[in-house]
Amino acid sequence: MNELILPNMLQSASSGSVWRHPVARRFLLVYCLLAFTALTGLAAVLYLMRQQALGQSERELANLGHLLAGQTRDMIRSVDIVLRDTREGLMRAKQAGEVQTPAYLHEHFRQRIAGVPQIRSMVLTNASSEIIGHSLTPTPRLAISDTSSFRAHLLHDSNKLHVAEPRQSRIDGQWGVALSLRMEDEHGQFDGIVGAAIDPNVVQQFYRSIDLGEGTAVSLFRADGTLLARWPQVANSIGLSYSNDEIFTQLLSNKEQGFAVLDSTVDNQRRLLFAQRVGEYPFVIAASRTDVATFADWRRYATVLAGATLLLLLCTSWLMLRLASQETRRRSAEDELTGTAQRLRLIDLASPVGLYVADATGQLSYVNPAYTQLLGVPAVRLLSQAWITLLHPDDREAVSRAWLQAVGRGESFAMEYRYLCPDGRLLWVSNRAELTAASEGRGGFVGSIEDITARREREQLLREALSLQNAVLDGTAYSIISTDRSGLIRSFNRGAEQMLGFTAAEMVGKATPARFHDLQEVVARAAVLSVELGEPIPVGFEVFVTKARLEGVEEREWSYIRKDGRRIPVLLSVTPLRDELGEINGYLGVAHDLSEFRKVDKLKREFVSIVSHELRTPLTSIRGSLGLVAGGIGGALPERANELVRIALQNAERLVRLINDILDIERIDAGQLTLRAQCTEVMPLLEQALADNQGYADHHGVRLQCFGQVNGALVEVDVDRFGQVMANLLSNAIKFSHSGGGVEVSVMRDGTRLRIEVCDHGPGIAPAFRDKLFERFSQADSTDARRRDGTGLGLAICKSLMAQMHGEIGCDSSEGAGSCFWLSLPLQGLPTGPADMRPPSLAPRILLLEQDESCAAQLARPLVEAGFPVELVYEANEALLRWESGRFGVALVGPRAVSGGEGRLEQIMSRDHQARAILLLGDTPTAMPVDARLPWPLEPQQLLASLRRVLVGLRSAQVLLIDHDRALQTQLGAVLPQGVALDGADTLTAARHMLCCRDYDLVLLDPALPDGDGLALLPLLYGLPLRPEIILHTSEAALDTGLTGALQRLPKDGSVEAMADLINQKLRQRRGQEDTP
Amino acid sequence: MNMPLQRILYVEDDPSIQTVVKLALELVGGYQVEVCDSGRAAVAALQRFRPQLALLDVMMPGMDGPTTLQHLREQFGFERLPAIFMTAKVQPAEVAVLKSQGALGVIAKPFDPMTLGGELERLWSGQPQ
Repeated sequence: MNELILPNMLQSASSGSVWRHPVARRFLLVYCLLAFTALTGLAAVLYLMRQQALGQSERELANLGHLLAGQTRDMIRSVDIVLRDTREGLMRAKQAGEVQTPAYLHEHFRQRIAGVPQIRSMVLTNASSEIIGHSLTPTPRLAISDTSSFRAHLLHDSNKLHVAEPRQSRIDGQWGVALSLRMEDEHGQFDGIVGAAIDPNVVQQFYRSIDLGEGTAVSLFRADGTLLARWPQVANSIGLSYSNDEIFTQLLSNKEQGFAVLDSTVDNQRRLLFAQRVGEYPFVIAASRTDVATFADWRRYATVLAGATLLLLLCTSWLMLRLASQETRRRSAEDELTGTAQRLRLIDLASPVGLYVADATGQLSYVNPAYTQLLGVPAVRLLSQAWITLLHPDDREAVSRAWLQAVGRGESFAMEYRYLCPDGRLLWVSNRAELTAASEGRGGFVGSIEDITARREREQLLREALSLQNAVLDGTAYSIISTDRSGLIRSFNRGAEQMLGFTAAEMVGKATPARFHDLQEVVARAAVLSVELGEPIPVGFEVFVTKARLEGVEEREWSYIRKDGRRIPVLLSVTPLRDELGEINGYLGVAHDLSEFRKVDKLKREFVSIVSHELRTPLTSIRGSLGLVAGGIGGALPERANELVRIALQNAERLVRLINDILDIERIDAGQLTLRAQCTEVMPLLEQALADNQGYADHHGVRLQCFGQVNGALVEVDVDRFGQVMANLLSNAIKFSHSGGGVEVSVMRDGTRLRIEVCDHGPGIAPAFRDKLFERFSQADSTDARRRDGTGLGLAICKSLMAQMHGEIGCDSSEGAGSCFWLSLPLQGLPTGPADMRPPSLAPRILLLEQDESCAAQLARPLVEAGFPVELVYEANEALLRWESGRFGVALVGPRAVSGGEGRLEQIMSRDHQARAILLLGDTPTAMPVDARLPWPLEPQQLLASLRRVLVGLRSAQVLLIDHDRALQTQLGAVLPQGVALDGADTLTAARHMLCCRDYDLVLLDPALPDGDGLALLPLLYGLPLRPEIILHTSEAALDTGLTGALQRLPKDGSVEAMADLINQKLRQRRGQEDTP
Repeated sequence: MNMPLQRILYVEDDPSIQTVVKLALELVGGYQVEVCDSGRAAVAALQRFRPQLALLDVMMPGMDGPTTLQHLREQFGFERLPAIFMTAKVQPAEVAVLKSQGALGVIAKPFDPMTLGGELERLWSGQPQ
């Protein structure tokens, strides 16, 4: 846990957020107070110390001042006494009349100053200032009237000692201060002065002898401010007046002594100064000390003290930071630990997962509530019992081994196993445990157990389902193929491998189902779907899945083409596969091989056919014999016998019809009922049908009537089968009509379709039965024995036949008011008609060899749309197999066809190349004698044009002359060369008929036809697969419609030979020498 | 215009049908009918009977109808012997095959004996002149 928290703490401390913690803030506050107090204390101490230093200096200066003042006064006083004694002595001597000679005076003065070292010399003047005696010899002859002493005593009648300003002696040149007294005669008149010069050096030497200390100075001033002596000396200061100094202006203005802090005028330093007057003498003594000296000690102490304090503060702040940081960490860690512990407690309680602590032996020392709930065993029991005993017996050994292994290797433990709970439940758990740090020698585990019973059950179900699915997929004979949304195959089961001959490895992830589908079927289906859905469906995978996507599932018969080229009919059921959101993410195609079914079906058909035949032979005798007897060949019969023979004959005939119907139905079921559809005018067919059934109607006393006339209306039907349908409807109508009643046949156009109705006035059909009318073996009233001579198959057959002829059949009826059966057929020869409604093409079948699916589809589509039947093969060998079947007229070798096949195709071609063509696309090098080599890529129109050109070269030319003049055909036939076949049509109807039945190379059209405008044929002509050349044979100039603009014209008045020439020229052009415009 | 139809060579292996056809053609139609029960017998009877028309069953043991016709037409003077087949197999494809072998027509079994003669006359008269 510590390892987890500390990095975070360090991080937060470094980023300063440590102060966010309240503990840290508390620390900061305390520290600031402490620092403030310390600093304040320091300041106070320093202040006090400074005051003390100041006081100390004051005291010292005062003492010094007092001492010096006292000493100076004593010195001056001794001089004063010397002078006064001298004056008294001289005055007495003079009064006594003693002659005072200079020598006497000199001697006198010398005695006087002996022992008074401060007096350097003494002098005596007379009243006229002439020196009359001096301590020096010889006595100088001088007058000193100019001195201040002399003038002061002369002018002031005072007995006071006069102090002169310091000056240089005129006698010996030395500095001195003169002290003098007034001399008076016996009358008290001025009689000169007596003076003594004091040597300043003596004073200074005295000052020097005192240890004044650093920065301390002593000065002696005359009371008027003149500096008399100073120590330490200041150059040129002695004798100057400092009367402006603060000492004299303020300090001593009215006091004897005092302190001041001032800027000294003597040496310009700030000083603490003590000044005192020297007793009764006009002297001032000043002791001063500079600030620097005064506070030198203080400064020293203060620096040391402040430094120590700051150092202390720094140290304490560092300590405080450390402490705060640590404390914060500790507190945070504690908080974190508290939170973690709380969370862990909550997790422990709320966890759906069982949590436990166990030692190495597996003995549990803690389990959470979920653990006990999962197992349904009280915690007490779990903690006292080895949990391994709760395991499913089959799992114990494995779990025990795994646990010991985990302990042994010091790894974590993870395993899924079963508990057998005391309440009998089987509990699957996932146990995961982590090794905890080893304590007391052996490690333990902290782990969880999770209930995975539900998951295990799901897995079991899934495994079973998967195994079932695999068994189904592998065991079935169905081809089961799944694809992604784009059609790429994702799975290909064993059934598919067997059915198709491809292996799953060849197909999965590599191909789409188009690989084994018949391209032509796909193209055709795409066309039908496009019409049905009203939007273009591309030829490709969409064709298989569009319906399935729209309707959920689509079941349809297709042809699969095996790897070896064999075709297999299959019933393919396509279902979309969806993801969990319901989005389609793929498709599943399940195909059932119908080959066996078809084989059995064929056997059944053959059986039915043989049985029918074998039944017919005896029936022929019976029918014939009865017919002869009933015809009276064996002589007249008694009436009863005649009646019986008639019944026998009727039933023999009914048996024949039944056999015929069964044969038809069987063929319809097998899809083998091939119709020979042809374009036919409908009216003659109807007339024939009426005529055929007239006898039957007469027999029943029913009148047949026909209404409506649709001249020239063409339908595409099998004439015989159409007759069969009409006979069925007519005979039904006649049969259910009352004798003397009528049956009406009406024919009418219905848009692009033709509608034929057969109505009777019989009993009608009950609504309940109407739905079953076209089902097999259904007859409305099975009790009406009189009417029952049908087989019950007729209408079912009619429905199938009509469907094959692209027609419809239905019935409108109201019970009691007769029935009305109707047929509906598409009208032919109309310019509009979907491509897939065209008659079975007469165009040759095309074998397309191309490996690339999309390229193949690109090639095939225009061909199929133009009406050519196309079969696609991917491999040359397969192509050869099919080519040999002889069903193909054209081989089209695609640009990416597999190489190696051309050589073998060439062999086939050399053996059998009549009426067969090979077209080669692209630039594949080959020695094959191809009929055309076409560039690639190629426009669909160019492909079709080239194909047509090659095809028309393979057969004799066919020309159709459409002209009302029949004689022209004979004349033209006579002049056309051999090898050109000429057909004629003299009406629009006949022309349509002919164009439906045969492909023509050239059509010579005279638009003026008896039954309509021949130009109406143009859309039909343009839509034919092998679009014929068209020559308009007309004299009319006003024919320039949009359709005819580019057509070749031939004037009506030309000769037959000119006509033949033009025809020949056109045919030659068409055969490929020149491209036709 | 041809000679009126009189002599018909009829080949059929089933005796019952032989009887019915013979009765129908002779009594109802008034034709002269030579009945043979196999192709071989027909070939044998050909020169003696000199038929104007051969009426042939298709499915017969030994030699079937088309083969019989082939053999008959190999005989001198009968290279263009008109023939009509009778068969129980009346599917359009089968009928087309038979017609392609030079027959005038195909009559489906079972037939109406009373109109059989008329049917033969109709087919006979439709043959190329």
